[in-house]
Amino acid sequence: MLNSFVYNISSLNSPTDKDLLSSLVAKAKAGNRSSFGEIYNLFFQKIYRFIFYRVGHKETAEDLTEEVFLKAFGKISGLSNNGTFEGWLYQIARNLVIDYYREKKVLIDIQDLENTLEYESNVVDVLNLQNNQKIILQVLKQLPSDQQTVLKLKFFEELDNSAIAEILEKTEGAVRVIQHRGLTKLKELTENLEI
Amino acid sequence: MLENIEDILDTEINRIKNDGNFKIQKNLNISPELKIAKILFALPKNQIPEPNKQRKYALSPILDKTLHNGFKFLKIAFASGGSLAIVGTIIFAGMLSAKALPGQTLFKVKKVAEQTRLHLTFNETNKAKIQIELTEKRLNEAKQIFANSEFNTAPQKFAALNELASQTQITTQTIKKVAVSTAISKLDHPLVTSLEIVAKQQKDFAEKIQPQDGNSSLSLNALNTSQQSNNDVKEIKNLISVALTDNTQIHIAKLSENNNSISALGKIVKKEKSIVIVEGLNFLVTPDTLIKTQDEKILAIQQIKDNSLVNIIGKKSLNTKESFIANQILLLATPDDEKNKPVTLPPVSPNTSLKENIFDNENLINDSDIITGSFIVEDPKSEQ
Repeated sequence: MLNSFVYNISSLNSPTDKDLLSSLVAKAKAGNRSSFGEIYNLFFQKIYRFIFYRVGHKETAEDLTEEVFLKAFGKISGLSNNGTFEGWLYQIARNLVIDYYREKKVLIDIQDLENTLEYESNVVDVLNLQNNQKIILQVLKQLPSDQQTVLKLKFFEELDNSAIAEILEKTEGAVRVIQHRGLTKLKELTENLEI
Repeated sequence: MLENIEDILDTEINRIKNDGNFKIQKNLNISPELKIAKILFALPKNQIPEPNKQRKYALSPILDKTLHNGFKFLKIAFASGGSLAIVGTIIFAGMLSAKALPGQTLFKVKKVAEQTRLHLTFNETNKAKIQIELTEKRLNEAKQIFANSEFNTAPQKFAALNELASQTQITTQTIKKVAVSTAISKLDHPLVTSLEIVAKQQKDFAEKIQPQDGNSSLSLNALNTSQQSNNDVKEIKNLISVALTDNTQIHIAKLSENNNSISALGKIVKKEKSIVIVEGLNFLVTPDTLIKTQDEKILAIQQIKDNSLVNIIGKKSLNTKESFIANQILLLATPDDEKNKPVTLPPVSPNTSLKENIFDNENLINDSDIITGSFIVEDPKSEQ
C-alpha cells in the first residue's frame, strides 16, 4: 500500500501519465526510437534544469543534457525493471556533472555535489528573499550534508522521492527518513527565531 | 494506511507541493516542519535560460557510437571552426567555380568574382580591357558547351548564348563610353582591335553552329549576337572617326613620366618639305621618321595629302622652340576616304589571341618610349 501511494505521487502525477511513461520506456527498450523521442521531450527540460543548477552555464548544460539522452538511448535496452526511469536519468545526469568537474580538474566532494560549488546561488534568487527565507537558508547550512542534499533536491528542485533515491543511491524510505530528520532539525534551529 | 511519521510528513509535503495554498493544520505534531517545508517551497527560483539547442538526437537515424563519441568534438568544432568553414567554403567555391559554365550553379559564383574584379578597377580603359577579356571568356564557354556532348542541352546552350550576348553588350557600352570621352584616340587602339577580333570570332562561331544544330532559335540567337557585336564595332569606329574628323578636336596625350613626348591626332592642314603642321603644332619630319599606313605600308612624306587624317607620335625638339620631332606618322585616312567610305582597320589574323594582341600593342608602345595605354588627354588650348 505504501509503495502504491508513493508511486502515485511521482512527478508524473496521474496513473495514466505513469502508465504512459511505462509504455514508452518499454517500447524504447525494444528499440522504438519514436518512443524514446517522446521520452526525450518529456524529460529534456527537467534534466536541463537539474544540470544547469549544478554547472551554472547554459551551453555546458545543453551539451551535458544531450549527453544524458545519448547515454540513456545507448543503455535503455539493458535497463532493469528495478527503480524508476526518471531516477535513472537523473543518476546519469549527476554522473555526467561529476565527470564534467573531474575533466575541469575541480576538486569537489562528489558525494556532496549539491552542497558545494555555486549550486545554491544558481537555484535560488537570493536577491528576492523574504526574511524568513533568509533565515531558513542560513540555518540549512548547519544541517548534516545528507539532510541538506535531500531537502535541496526536494524543495529547491522539487524532485520526487524516487528520483532523489536514485540520485543518492538510497531507498525511497531512507529518503523520507532523511527528509524528516532534516526538517525536524531545521525546526529546532529556528525555534527561537521569528519565521 | 500510513504507519510512521516520515510517511505522514512526506504525504503532507506533497500536498503542499501540489497546492501552494494548502492550509497546514496547526494542531499536528508535524505542523512546524510543514511550515518550514512551505517556506522552502516558496523560495524564489532563478530563471534559467531557455535552451536553444534542444535537438531530436534521440530520433536521429545517425545516432550511433561514432556520433556519441564525437559529440563534444563537434560542439567545439562548430564554435571554433565556424568562421574557418565559411572562408574555406568561399575559397573552395571560388576554385570550383573557375571552370563553371553558363547554366551551372557555380557559374553565378564565378560571375560574382568577375564583378568584384571590375569593382576594384577604377580606370575606365582598364575596365574596358577586362570587359573584353570577359567577352572572350563567354565566347570560349559557349564554344565549349556547343562542342561538348556532355553539355548538349538546349537550356545550357541558350544560357551560354545569353551570357555571351549580355557580356558583349556590356563590353561595347564600356568601350563606347571610353571612345566618346578621352582615352581612345586612334582607330587601331588595342581596345577597338580586340573588340573587333571578338566580334569576328563570334561571327565564325555563329556561322558554325547554324548548320549542325537543328534548333533554329539557337542559331538565330547566336547570329543576332554576332550581328549586334559587329554593328557595335562599326558604331564605335564611327564614333572615333567623327572625333578624328572634327578639326576642333585634337587630342594631345602626354606621358605622365615624360613630358617631352606627345601624340597628336588630326588633319594635316599644311605640309612643307620637312614640316608637318597639325592644328598649329609643327612636327619636323626627319629621315628617321617612320611614315606608314594602317596596313603597315611604308610611305614617303610626299605621298601624304593635305587634309589627311594622321596620328603623329613625336618628341619635343631640343633645338627649336614650339616644334616637335616626328618619330612616327600613321596615316589614318585620306581626304577621299573621309568623304566616301569608313576607315578600315588593319586585318587581324584569326589565330591571333586577344590577350596577346593587347599586350603586343602595349609593348610596342612602351618600347617606343612615347606613350602608354593609360594617358592623360588635354585640350591644347589649355596648355597654351
